[in-house]
Amino acid sequence: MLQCLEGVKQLCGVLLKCCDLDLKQPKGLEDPEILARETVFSVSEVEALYELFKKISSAVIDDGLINKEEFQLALFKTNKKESLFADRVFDLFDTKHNGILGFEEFARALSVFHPNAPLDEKIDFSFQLYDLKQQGFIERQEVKQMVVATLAESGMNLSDEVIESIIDKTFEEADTKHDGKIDKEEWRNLVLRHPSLLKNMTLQYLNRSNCLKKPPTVYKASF
Amino acid sequence: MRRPKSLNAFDIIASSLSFDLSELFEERGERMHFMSGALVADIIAKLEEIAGMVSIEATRNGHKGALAISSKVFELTRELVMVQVCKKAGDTAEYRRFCDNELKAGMRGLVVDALPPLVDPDECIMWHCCCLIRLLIPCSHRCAH
Repeated sequence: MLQCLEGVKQLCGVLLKCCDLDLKQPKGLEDPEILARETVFSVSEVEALYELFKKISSAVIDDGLINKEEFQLALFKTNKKESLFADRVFDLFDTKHNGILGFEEFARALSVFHPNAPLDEKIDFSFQLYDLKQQGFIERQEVKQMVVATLAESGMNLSDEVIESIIDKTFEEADTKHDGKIDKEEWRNLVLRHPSLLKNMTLQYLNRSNCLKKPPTVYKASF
Repeated sequence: MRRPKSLNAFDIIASSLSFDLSELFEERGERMHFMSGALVADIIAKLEEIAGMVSIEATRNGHKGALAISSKVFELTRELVMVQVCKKAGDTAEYRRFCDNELKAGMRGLVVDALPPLVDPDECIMWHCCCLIRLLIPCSHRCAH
């Protein structure tokens, strides 16, 4: 029995080796110029991003791809934490809908977060992010779910009454068509009035030529 | 003091740490929140008092640690504010020790668990003020030479 298994193992090993040779393995950085042309990244930014990608994608399985666990690890420094938002972000990054992120998906999604990315892209992305059920509009229930999840993260409990009143005010302002939901146009108008709502859609860090450079340990506090 | 603006559910959502992708690139942002029914001025005074008690300058092995913390106070209702404290610079372990010991102990009297009833929802305003507390903490614990 054991000998059989050994045999199978060896066979698999040989097969995999063959596959490795044939498979254009982990679609590495073949041509940063292409991505640089099609996103707001410069070639050096793409290359630096690739270094980060390699680091994240090798955390659990060294296959040149980021799975959800590796994504959570990179975001929370632990794979134990599940998050409504992290799931949503991962799903949006995963344009091929196959549960893993290749470098292209990673880079294209992150380019939306670049300081130079068009505002419309950020507005679109954030809308899709908040449209939890992907119905093309943001429902009151979805907003409540996200507010509660956010507060729970910091261990804060607001009474239902307070949360409802906060959402009331938000919808009063955002839901100009008064249909109980926020569609893309209403979202756009809201965000144009309150640009700070998109603050998490821009990562200043992406502008640096080398993403992997460790930030200095003491830096100026800014407000 | 910045001018008040009305509270928005998406402001709260956007402040979520899970939505903060900068974590992919940088050291984990250390942030904590708690709620208080005290006056903002009292909260700030208390924070400064706590910082004052911890400002011990000491050197060991010729090194001085510098922990910088910023605090923001958001008004949720007329009775309730949310205080956000985050580490701006310095050793994370140091910061966490500060939060667990000095900060929580000092703020205990001002933090609420039970929530007062909402009086006037129309009066909800968000008020944003910042203060920076610079602490010098002996780096004895981390300079493992």
